[in-house]
Amino acid sequence: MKTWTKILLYTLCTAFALIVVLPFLMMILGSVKNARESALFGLDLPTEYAWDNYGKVLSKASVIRGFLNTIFISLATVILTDIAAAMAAFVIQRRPGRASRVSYYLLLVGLVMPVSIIPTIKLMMSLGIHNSYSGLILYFTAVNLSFAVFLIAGFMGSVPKELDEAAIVEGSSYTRLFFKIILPLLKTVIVTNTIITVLAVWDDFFGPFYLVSNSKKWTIVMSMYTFVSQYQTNWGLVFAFMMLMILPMLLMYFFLQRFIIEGITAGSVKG
Amino acid sequence: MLKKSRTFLGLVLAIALGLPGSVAAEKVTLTFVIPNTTNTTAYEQIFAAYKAKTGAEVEIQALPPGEDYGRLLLTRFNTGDYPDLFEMDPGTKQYTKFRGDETLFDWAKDPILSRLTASTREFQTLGGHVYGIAWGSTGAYGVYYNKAVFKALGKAPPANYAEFLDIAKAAKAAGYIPIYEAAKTGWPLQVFSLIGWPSYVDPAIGDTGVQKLERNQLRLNQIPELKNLLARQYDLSKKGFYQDSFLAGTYEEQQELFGQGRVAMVAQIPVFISAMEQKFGKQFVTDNLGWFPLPSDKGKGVATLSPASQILVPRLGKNVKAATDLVRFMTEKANVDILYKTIPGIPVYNDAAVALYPAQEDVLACVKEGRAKINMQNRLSSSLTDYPKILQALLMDGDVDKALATLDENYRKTGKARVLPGF
Amino acid sequence: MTRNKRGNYPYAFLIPALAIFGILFLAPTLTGFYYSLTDWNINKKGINFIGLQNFRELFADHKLIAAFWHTIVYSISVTVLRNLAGLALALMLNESLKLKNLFRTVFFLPYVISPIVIGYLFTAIYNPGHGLINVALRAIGLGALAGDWLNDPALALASTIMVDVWRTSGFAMVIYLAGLQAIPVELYESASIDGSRYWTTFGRIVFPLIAPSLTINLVLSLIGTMKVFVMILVLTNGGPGYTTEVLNTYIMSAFSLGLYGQGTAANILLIAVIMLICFPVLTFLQKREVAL
Repeated sequence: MKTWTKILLYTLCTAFALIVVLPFLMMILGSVKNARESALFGLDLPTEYAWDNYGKVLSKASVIRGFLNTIFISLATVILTDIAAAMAAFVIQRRPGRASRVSYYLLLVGLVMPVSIIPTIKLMMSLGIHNSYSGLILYFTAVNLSFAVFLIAGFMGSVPKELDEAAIVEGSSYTRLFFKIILPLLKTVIVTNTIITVLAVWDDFFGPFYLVSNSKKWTIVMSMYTFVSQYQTNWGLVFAFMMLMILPMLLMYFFLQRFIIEGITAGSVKG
Repeated sequence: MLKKSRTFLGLVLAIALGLPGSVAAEKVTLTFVIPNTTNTTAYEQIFAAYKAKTGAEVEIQALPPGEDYGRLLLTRFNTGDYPDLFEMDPGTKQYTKFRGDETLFDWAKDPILSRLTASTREFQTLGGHVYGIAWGSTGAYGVYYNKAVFKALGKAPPANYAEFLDIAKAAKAAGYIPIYEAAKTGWPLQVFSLIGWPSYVDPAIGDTGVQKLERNQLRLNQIPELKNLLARQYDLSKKGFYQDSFLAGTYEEQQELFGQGRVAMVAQIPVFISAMEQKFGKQFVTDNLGWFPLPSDKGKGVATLSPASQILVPRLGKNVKAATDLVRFMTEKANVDILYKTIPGIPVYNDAAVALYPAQEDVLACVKEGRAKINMQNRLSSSLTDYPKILQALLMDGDVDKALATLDENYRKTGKARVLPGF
Repeated sequence: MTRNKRGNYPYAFLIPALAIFGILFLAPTLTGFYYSLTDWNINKKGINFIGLQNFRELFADHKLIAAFWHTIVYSISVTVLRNLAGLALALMLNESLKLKNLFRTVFFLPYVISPIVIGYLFTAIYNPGHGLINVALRAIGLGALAGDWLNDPALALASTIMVDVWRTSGFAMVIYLAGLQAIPVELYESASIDGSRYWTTFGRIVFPLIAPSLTINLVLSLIGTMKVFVMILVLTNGGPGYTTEVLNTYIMSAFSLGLYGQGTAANILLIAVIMLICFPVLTFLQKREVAL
């Protein structure tokens, strides 16, 4: 390839990379500036480092509570989603038939259809799970099942059916087959799905906003929403809060990006 | 089964984690819900005193303000998840909103009512029931101005609307921002027409007119004086009396620039005094913060009073006795004085000791002269829904008829949704 | 032991997923259709059937009409721009540059950040006085172009669109990259032997072969962007006025007022819009895939 083309490409890529990185840089710097300086949204270094911004943010009970709630809820959702989706994908992929087909298409509806959140509230109220952790967890599971099944079913094809047959011949039950043999082999796609589910729960605004009116059970997104509406004049605090919120995501991304990107590409190529 | 065992597990965990002090089941913790824009200093002091006296904890839960606040509370009511007590906007329309007859504790005939001023008692009574205890002070919406800026301009509070416009013109010429409008924040935009209402609309339609509005026998877009008022607001923007790029204006910047002496006037609500005190100090408010009502074409204008907020106690809550005890404690003289020390205003309690700011004294003077009326929003059971957005649109395109039509439509739609008589 | 060739994989395994999904997703969607025809309202105790009245009121409400159009404009704009950017980035990265993985990591990064954080971040970036955008424009002498990105009614919607494009182009890129990398190298080689120039190769060989990636990206993008909510809520809250209202912010304001019947009706409208736009697009693209 011609050199000038290469230079052009590098320049363009660097330019785009800057467009991505600079806003984050501003946020990182802003998170340790005091109120006056952070409101200037500059890329310069702070004149005095306001490390206590982080301390101040963490001292608000609603912040810690938001994190704890989110961690608890996303963990529970992940476990429920992974298991239910893997079980369903297992049967759907291995036992083609009307029941499997219908189930699969029903679940795919969830990929397209937006959540009917207001009737969901009514349903949860009548089931007595409105405004509760279990309600929120079940809701998140329901919403994430479609993509999970889609992803895992796509991956199932690469797990050899011979393994199943071998286990059955040896007299194993399907349950044992699934939990002892198949599930471990699904590790890669389960990790991808876990990451995607955690991201979905972490970012979700609909669930906590509409389904939980007790502020003690709110997730971190709602904590941020109420925090900013109260402290919006102190951008230093706001940026610090934002940093705390995205830190888990960033860590997960840097260590596990292979899974995320491969998972998405695998899903798309198999389509 | 799974749910029960999960709840049980959670309970065990909670107890095992040993939340400090939660040893005995007799320990009462009351939840007190407030909008997160409330200044909590007074509450914190009073609740600390209450804890010292009775051992009961009061936990403040702060929810987002505005429409969301009412909705979140209503949703909690609908699911039986009642807070022990909560703060709410003034007036009896909250009683209807929260279906007070079924859900709220009735204070009628309770000795606590003798602590309140007669007009407040009357304002909080609906059909013989009193579901809310006033908490706070009466203040006035109005034009708050910077006395130092006025002095520099050689101007005094206007005697009529023409003079008001003159002041704005002079301020602009001298390089000040004549009027700062927090258009992006939204809610401050309403203040102009609300303070104009008693000076322009009330004289035209009278109390009977307002009663007709209340019962949907008169429509907002049938009131030419209201149309005129909105046209005046648009006119202010056209004449350049607002700050540049006013659509980006925020409440925070408004306070900041006003305190720095760059702004001559703002149309604001009583909490502005408190906000300025927090940001720029008591001395600033005493020396530099002035107030006057929006003048009419012919005179100095009528003050728009905003009644005190109220505290309501759901009678279907779990700790009704403790909650009502707390309210009685809060309304004792010592604690009411703490309230007025941190948030001064015209008191609604009979024996409160309050030191008013000059701006507030001016309001009191208007009241004594009989030039005061309660904010029209508190006189009507339906609401001016989406008013801030309607005004934003008005300032963008100047279509007063469309703004008025939308306002009327929303008002009636809300009335219908709240099942108010006549809608 | 005789066994069915397919194997008696237990259908019972489908139950957890179907139960949760059915009860907490499908059931509300279906009951939503019913509720949209009622006067369900937080202030009323009973729920009464009122036919199509909610829909009539919706279409008479110019706030809803605005939300409707904005949703469509937003969705199509973000989809087109995101895919152009994603494809461009993928093509660049496909040219086996050094640092390719680093660039890929960076470009995908915004996608893992919460939309709410990105929303608040960009209220700072778009700040007319100090925000990075206007500062940068002034620094290179284009200060005249500096505008009030989020508060100028003419610019607000476009500004929100650009934030979404910034956030998700990396995602589109990753899918295109996968599609590009699936193209056998021999095809490139035979094309260059023929003396084809880059863009001819692209048009004749590359573009048709990445049809599956295109389908997925377009459909996912259309569906996802029609459901936009948090980003707009935080950037502009539907303002100034109604200029950035979308269907989900409209549903939220209906909900805040306790107008549940109307909110549900607006949700049905959203479902209808998604179906009406996505199915034709999906069918068209899939037919194209087959044909190619």
